[in-house]
Amino acid sequence: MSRAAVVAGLGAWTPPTLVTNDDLAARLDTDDEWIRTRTGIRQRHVVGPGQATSDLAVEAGRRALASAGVERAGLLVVATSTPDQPLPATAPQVADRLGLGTVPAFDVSAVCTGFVYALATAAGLIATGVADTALVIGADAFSTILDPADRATRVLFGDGAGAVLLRAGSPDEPGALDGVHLGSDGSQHRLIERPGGGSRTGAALAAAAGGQLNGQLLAAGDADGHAAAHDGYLTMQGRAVFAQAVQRTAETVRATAERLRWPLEAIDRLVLHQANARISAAVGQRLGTPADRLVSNIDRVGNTAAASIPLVLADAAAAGDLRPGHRVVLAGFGGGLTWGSVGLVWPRLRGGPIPAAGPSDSPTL
Amino acid sequence: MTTTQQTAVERCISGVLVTEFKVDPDTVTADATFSSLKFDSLVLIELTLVLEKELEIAIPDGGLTDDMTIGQAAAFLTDLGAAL
Repeated sequence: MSRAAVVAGLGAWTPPTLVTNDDLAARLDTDDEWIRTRTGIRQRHVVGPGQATSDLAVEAGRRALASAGVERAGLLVVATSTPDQPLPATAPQVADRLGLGTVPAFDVSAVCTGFVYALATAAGLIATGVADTALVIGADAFSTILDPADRATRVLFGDGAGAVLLRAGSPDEPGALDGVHLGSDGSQHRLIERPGGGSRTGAALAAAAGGQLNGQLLAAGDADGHAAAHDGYLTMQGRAVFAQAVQRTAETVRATAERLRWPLEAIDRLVLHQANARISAAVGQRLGTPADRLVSNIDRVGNTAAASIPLVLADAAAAGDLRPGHRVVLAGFGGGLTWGSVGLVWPRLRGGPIPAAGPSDSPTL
Repeated sequence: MTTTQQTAVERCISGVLVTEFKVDPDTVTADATFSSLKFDSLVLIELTLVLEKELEIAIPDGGLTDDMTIGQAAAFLTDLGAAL
């Protein structure tokens, strides 16, 4: 293939409202020590009242464009599983607000693997000449779908967005995406789920409404209606998820390394979805990757779902831990189940990476 | 009956507990249960994943439990075909 998608810009954003472990301990049966030792998380950012996923996506998208030194992109993909609303997709609004006009824009839904799936999709559209540039944004506001009383999920998740600007280039230049590997296992779809809000609960509600009209099935309708209220929350089977995450992430990294013909020890930086510090450590252990080659920012942002990979990339690149010339593998795992990874040699970005925190975190941006 | 193979597996488990999980070697005996080692809820999953790699076997989810002794775990993993 003579045409490849090349990373040319990187930006990230987190909303200003901070929730510390002590804040959570004041309301839930948990404490800072418990959360830190089990997850590695110290704090997470959350959206404020009236803020939605598109607001996060627009900020991150603007920063990725600035990082690439461009004002426009020919395609927009938003990876999210917390869209502003079930229909329509969030991406067209984000494209409009970024001034991209009427470019193709759509959402990709693969939960915490969403960013890798979105990169693969956009890279394919660039390689086939459908687009010459693409803005790929991972944005999620999981704080809006958590059960306020569920300690297990509330300590883990935070909100944020990160974005990458891709341009057409050649496969042998720094920044070219290669070695894409994706997978899914729908037999395990109940391990991480938010059951409500789709056609299955919609059909149950319609049946309940019909029952009321006909004076039949009232009891079943009430039961379904009651269940539907709780179906809006995210649920996770932590133990099984932990084991699957470690196995599948390690497998997908190996698959990408094989496609790239990189021995595992040639990977300079392994950029894993920031699910839980202990999952990342276990993946590193399984692959024999030294801890200092695993980038991490989960202590400051928690698990930000589809946003986590570009958020940690921006932090690591800005801190100088991830440098031009490094061989990098990005790998995600999430609900579906889904998993995937992609490799690249880290490029020099014209405007530098623009991370979520720091002096560039100004309201004028 | 304790076989040579089982003894080797038990040594492997003890070694992993001491080196990877920083457990005090004096507390790691064949009769010690995992719960007596004061693990938190994630350690048995992590231990399972490390032993799968070390012993080249697939351990079913929930295969290792809190109330197992290290000796019982060695017997269980030997039955699964642990290779050493």
